[in-house]
Amino acid sequence: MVGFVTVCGLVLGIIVGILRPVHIPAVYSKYVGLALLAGMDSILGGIKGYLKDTFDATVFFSGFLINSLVAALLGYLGDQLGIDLYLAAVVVFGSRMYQNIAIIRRVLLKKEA
Amino acid sequence: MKRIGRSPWQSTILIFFLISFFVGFFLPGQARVVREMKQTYQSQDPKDLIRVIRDLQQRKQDLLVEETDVSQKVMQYLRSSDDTAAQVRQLQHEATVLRQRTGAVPLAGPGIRITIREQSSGASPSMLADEDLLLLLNDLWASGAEVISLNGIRLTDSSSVYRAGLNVRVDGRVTQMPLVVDAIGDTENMSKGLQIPGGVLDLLNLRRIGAIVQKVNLLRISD
Repeated sequence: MVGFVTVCGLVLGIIVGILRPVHIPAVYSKYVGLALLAGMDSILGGIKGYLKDTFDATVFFSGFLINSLVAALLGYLGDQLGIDLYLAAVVVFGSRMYQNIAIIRRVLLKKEA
Repeated sequence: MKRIGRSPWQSTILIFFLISFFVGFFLPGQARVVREMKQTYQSQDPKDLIRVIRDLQQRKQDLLVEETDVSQKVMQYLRSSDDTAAQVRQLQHEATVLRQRTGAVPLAGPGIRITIREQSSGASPSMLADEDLLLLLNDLWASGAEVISLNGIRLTDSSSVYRAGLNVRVDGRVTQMPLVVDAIGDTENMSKGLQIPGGVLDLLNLRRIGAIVQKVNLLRISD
């Protein structure tokens, strides 16, 4: 059910975003991308927690906000320091997404079994 | 690790939906910005930009060389075409003049008619000499005569004109006095050329050879 709602929310958001496109300044696009990556990681983490019966809405929501902000700030800080710090966020969130997807897959497979 | 308890079902669904919607809402805008940035050089790697600039500079150099070559070819073509056209015009003009001089084409136009009468009788007859004829014809040619005829016999560049007794022989054909000389060309120039002080008309007058010059609007001289 959570997965269905997530997919529906994602699809609905994309449709609204296409119909009513939000203007993102080019200079901030990298940070917004990092924030979205963190957001997707949070969603997958939330689904994983829900499936493993460890989900907490507060943690989920705070994790989404903080991770997104930290990812964006990390990218900004890296730009200011001349270091590609955003790569750290990309690697961390990317690998976590893979891990979460793998866990979700295993949990779903176990449930079906 | 602290175990987190399950949240109420509705709030869970709601928060999943909201966060998913939020992420989904920003995805198209972000994708559009990235797509637009790829079309500009702002987000390109400086190394790639340097390579692109070098390629463009090389391309520009090649195009400049090509432009120079093409410009030179165009100039050559224009020059050659101009030369060819001028040559064609010159040759056509020369051909026309030659056809006129050789009598290949009949001509008609304004000109002058000179009627020469000699006084072959009396106590002191005056005879038209070969030199007089030569001077008259040369003056006419020099004054712009395009074609000349003597008593209807058209002259060419190779014509021979000379006195033969009381007659005049033109290209082997005999004609008699009085002599009517028709010349087509610039009427004013030919008339002035003949009337130059000390010219052929003065000479003929001095030798009491009557020469009447008339301007004729339309003369026809055939071969």
